[in-house]
Amino acid sequence: MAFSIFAKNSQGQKSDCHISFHGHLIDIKTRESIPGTLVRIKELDKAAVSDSAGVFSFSDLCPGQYSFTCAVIGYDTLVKKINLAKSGHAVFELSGQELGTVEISGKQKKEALSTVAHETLAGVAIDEVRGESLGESLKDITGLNSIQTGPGISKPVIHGLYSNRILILNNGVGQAGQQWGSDHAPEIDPFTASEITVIKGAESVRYGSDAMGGVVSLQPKEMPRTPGIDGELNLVGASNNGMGVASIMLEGAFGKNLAGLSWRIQGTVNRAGNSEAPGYYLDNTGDFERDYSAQLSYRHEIFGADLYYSSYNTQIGILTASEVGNLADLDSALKSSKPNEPSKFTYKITTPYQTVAHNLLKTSGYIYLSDDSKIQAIYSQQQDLREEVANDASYTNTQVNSVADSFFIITNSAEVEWETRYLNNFSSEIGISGSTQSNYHKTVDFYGVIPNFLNYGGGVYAIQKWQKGFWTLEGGLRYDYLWEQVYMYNENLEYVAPLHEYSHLSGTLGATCQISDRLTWNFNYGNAWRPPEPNELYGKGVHLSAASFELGDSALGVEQSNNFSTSARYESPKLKVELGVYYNIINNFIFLEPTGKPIYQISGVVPGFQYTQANVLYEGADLDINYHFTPRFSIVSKSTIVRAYNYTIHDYLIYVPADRFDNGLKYEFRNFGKVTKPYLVASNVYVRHQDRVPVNNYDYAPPPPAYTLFNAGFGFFVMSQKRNIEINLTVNNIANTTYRDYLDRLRYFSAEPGRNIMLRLKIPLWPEKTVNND
Amino acid sequence: MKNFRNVILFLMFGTIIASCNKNNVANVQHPLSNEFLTTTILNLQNVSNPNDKPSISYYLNPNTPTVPPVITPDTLKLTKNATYTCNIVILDQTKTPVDTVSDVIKQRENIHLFFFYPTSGLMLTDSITDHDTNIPPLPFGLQSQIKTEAASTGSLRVVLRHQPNVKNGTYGPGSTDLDVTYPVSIK
Repeated sequence: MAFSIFAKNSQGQKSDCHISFHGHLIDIKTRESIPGTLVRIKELDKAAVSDSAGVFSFSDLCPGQYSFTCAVIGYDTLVKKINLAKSGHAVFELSGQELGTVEISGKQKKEALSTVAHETLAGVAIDEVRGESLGESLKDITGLNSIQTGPGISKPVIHGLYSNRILILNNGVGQAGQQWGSDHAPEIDPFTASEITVIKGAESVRYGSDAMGGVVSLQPKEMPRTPGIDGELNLVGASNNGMGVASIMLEGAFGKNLAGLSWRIQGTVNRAGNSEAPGYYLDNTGDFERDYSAQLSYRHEIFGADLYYSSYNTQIGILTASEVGNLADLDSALKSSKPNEPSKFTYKITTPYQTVAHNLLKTSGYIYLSDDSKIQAIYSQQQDLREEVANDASYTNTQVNSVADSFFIITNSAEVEWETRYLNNFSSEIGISGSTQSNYHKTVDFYGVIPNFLNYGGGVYAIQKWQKGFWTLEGGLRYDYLWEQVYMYNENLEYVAPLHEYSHLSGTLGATCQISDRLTWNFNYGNAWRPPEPNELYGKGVHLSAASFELGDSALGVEQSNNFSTSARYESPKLKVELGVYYNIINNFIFLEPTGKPIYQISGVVPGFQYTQANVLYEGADLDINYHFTPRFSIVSKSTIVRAYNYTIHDYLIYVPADRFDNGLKYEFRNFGKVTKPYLVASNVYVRHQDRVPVNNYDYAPPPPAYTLFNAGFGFFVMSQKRNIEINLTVNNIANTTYRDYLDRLRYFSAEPGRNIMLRLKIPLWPEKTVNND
Repeated sequence: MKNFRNVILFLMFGTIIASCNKNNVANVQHPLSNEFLTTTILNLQNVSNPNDKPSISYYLNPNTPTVPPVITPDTLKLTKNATYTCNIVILDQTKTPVDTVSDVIKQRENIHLFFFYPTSGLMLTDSITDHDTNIPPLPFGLQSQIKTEAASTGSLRVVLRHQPNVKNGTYGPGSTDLDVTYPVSIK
């Protein structure tokens, strides 16, 4: 346990008992701040909680020796004696608990408002889901589900909301791809992240309208500081679809004249073939992904700058059987228990498929204007090209590889943020952001599911926080403005450019109370909004693999949500329980409703769906329980329940996740020989039948029955040639159960994949260096 | 130090200005390059009566998908116990001059196949008379023969399947390009 004190001269502290003391809590490994930690001075029975920047403070102290006790979940409790003669500050370095690392720690992330429920996937927990898609790997977090289009395409669902209502932050930049489509997966390589934080609730004040339903933030590892070179290799293999993944990362820091400068390069190749459902292969469900990223970083005592570039490229096959052009074809697909086409295992991807290329360039910098004041700025540019290739792309084309739809979007955004602390108990965050997007859609159709558009948006926000003793109160306000022009053909074949302008004020209020050492209570109210997207306004076309014709409505207005959430967390050495409930009223919620009228296409009749608005309610509960029977043997239970109701027509909403219960047992063995931290897990996932569905004819097929899956896994570290190699093996769907999931759009055509054995290796490329804590 | 602060501030404003730069590809008008099958005409010819040559057209405006198709005349009137040749013409009336798409489909006959489905009770049979250049040749369907029997009414559905690399003479593989239905009366 290392720590250091930089006692500083301070002016104006004449009287003896007016010493003030600031402490900064950081993770000894990642060097990241640790917010939300209770720090007590034993001798005085005084306490403080570290703020979002990991800083706590005491004032009016008399000179003397004090014991500071810092206790937070996921870290060893630190007790440090400090002799105070005058005002000053110190860095407290906390080390993570090695044994019994909670899969999903309750560690708070500095981006988050501390009163909104959030969870982080890091360490062993993230290593256990390597190789899975982002949407899939987040299913382990309570409150989350995923909406899928077959095995290769998965998007996260937070408290029932997805797509444009969820913001995905990739290294601090809001992901800007073609999020509007539920078959458009996030264009991100999860191997770039060392931890993923999910904020389960509106964060619109901080991030704008995209964060209405929550935020998924992927954070890379902190840049290295020790001079030298380091690196790691991740290898993943899966039995079901013959997937092989290799991801390599190299990083280094310079010393001497170039001290403070560091770099990292990283690349991933992921190749998978057809997935296998019990009894048959899912034809054309392979994918081939190639990604790379590079980062250059400079850190000085009071300022720093970063340059980051990443490139994501993939080709994803779409189940052949799911490409139906009209109701007659859909009807025949629905009547058969499995796809009509014979299939075998192959890595070959044929039509229909998607190709996606996403490039991100980010520059950022920060500077401390004083100990209590920091300014940071981020600029980013993203280019996203998505092509959807179908075999009926053109009536007369012999070429198989003709592009049916292509979407190209460029996003530029910039943000400046000023964080400051004043009057000891108050802190504030003030920011300004701006962005512009330009979307170009090309289609073989007469019209398209999304028109071309250009927009400019800006926002200003301020968040105030007050912390004293066991209480944290926070409040924030944000004003946004969006100018958006759409370019498209009207019904008379004239090229027109309707203009839309939106502005909105949103706000948030929250409180956290550390009732006792073991019990914490949170409350948050967030008001959020979202302008209608161009596809919701002017979309007019058949969505591939959906056999539905989507019609926009140019009269749609702004969607507004009022989200109330509260959670309580109890934590003792044996038992950890967290219960969160939320009540999210969304007025003018935009969704697709069947028109009941046929849409006449030359390729046949398809059902028409119209974008419409209604007042709806999403409510639910997340429950996490972790109980240790013995220090090594524990039970982990996670329950996710979501309800959604349309108050305008008094009916349920479609595509709401079914109740999900995940119960597992974990045994952590003693270390033996060169093997450390061995564990064994077994779990049961039960997903209920979704019986709360709209009564009128919304869906092509009724929700599938409930299903039960059994999963198991084990993992350990083994020291070999001074390298601590991490190995884990998981088996999903051990019983090879045939099931379909309500939120998978391909459930109309095929079952989900069967048993899948995944083996993962994480190999440090250089021998371990002796840790030097000075 | 102060210099560095200036650099940071410069970068901040620079990025804001850079981001306001117009990346205006969105308002580039994209060409409507592909063909639309707006009109499907059946031209029939009674083999034993040169004056009996009924015809029917099915018109759909692709830009008004909620408007039902226009069928002219409203019914295809055929003579009972007769044999007709049937020739399909497909037009794109969004183009000026009007584009005859069936000519292009003919060039791509190896990946296309027509199907004819009379409703039960409509006393007619349709058999394809032309073949593509696949080896062995497979039926195509732009040319066919319709044989009528007793007087009856119903409708005839015509489907064009698009089967690149997978055409094998059956309906299954590929996807549907065209699916139109005509009212028919046999007297």
